[in-house]
Amino acid sequence: MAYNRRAAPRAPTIKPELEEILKRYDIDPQADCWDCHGTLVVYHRALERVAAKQDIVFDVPSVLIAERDAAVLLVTGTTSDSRREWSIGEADMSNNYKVGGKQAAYPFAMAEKRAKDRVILKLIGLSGDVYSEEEADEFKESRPRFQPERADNGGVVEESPAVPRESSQIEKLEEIIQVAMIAAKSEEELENVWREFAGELQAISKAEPELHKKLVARFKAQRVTITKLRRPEDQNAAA
Amino acid sequence: MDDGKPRSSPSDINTFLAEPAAWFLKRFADYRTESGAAAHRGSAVEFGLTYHLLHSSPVNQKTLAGLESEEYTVPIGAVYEKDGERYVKTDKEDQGVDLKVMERATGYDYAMTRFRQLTGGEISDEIEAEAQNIRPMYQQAVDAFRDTGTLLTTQTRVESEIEGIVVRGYLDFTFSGPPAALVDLKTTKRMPSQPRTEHIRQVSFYSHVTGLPAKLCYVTPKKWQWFDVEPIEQQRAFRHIRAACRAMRRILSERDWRESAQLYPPRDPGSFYYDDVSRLLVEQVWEL
Repeated sequence: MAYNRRAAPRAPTIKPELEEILKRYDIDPQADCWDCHGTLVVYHRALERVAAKQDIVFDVPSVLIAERDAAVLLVTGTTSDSRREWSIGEADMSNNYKVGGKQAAYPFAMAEKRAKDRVILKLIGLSGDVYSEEEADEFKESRPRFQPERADNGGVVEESPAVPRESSQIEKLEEIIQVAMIAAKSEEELENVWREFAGELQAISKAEPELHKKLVARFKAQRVTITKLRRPEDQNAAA
Repeated sequence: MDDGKPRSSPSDINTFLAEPAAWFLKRFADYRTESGAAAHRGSAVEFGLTYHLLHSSPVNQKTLAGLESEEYTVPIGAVYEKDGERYVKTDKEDQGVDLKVMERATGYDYAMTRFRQLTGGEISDEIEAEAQNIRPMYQQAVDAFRDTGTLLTTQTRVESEIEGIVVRGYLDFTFSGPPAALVDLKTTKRMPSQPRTEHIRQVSFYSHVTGLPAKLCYVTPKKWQWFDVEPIEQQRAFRHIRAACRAMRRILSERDWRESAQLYPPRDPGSFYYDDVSRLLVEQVWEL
């Protein structure tokens, strides 16, 4: 199948001093960040990676507010060279934490994520310049649906081919998801694709059940391909 | 019995002969094409017929013991005799209840229950269409089996080593006759003029192992028909099974199955041997 190429998502414009810090902590501006109305937003998973590499240890959080629909936690983190920062994470379903449809709400987990991300950004000197995706629904809504992959060597791999422009919106989305699944090199990556597009898949299953069936079939076929059809040497190259 | 030898079944051999590409996926990619609603319909009608046959005549202990295996359980409500007393089976643990308080389901009830179990409660046009076939097919099957003699066994495991492959299958029914015979039930929407080759092959395996003559009973929603499988046909079909087993054993002994697979491109990816997932897989493996 041939696809027309489309333009890659616009890379965020970053000040040189900020770029230097991102580079120091192995945060890729193209794969790990995006621009939301002039604000640089970073993926939570990228910050977790930084915490792991910098050996940041978190204390047991203090629970400041614990209600059914709201949580406020105070989290403290310490680096291996004993630098210490604390911050507060809040998640209030009546205010700054919205969940849609049948999605389950986890205000405590969200408050913890926000607090930890803030601590990590403080410890690496990016607080105020960069925000975690978990900070605001607005940030998550602006997240690009398709970003270039992050290669193991820290570089960026070429994005997968784009979809035909003449398809309807749902069909276009279906093709994007298909391509993302075909590009997955491990079961974990494949599962991540399915999770990343969970909302879209739910919408497709309601609007176009036959397309959803195709996507489920692709998912199953790709899992067999990854686990059973690749030769051992291909598996090693993918790892 | 197998001692680490490769295993197969009559159905697996039929797949290998009809659509070897699907066989490769099953064997080496561990992917089995999902059974369609038609296959579930056949299993359901057979299940319902079995209950009907068990219910309509006393079942001896040996038959009952043979039925209560992992692969097959006596349907709830089936009547059986033990120590001269009649019992109705209610559940796995129950040893017997007062007949008067039991309400018995019909074979059709069992057939529909099994169909819904096998289709997982899923709803689709295909499933509903097959569900509509179950009552008339069940009725035709009941009529067809009226004069078969005493039911001896159902779902009997049959196993034999052929050309280094351990082949195992499950025989639908054996009857006392006379003469005693093994019977396989086939449900279909259109009555064939002759039994299908793959069905002859299947019962030929059973016949080879048990020594019993083989009969095929086809039922459609509107009629039923018996076919005797002649010894000469059985022998020819069994030679075909042996050839298939030799080929399979050779392929299984190869270091890289992919090289052998390239010699067997899919013949008809639109056939029932494939589903949506296996069609995507054959596109990959055979670069379609």
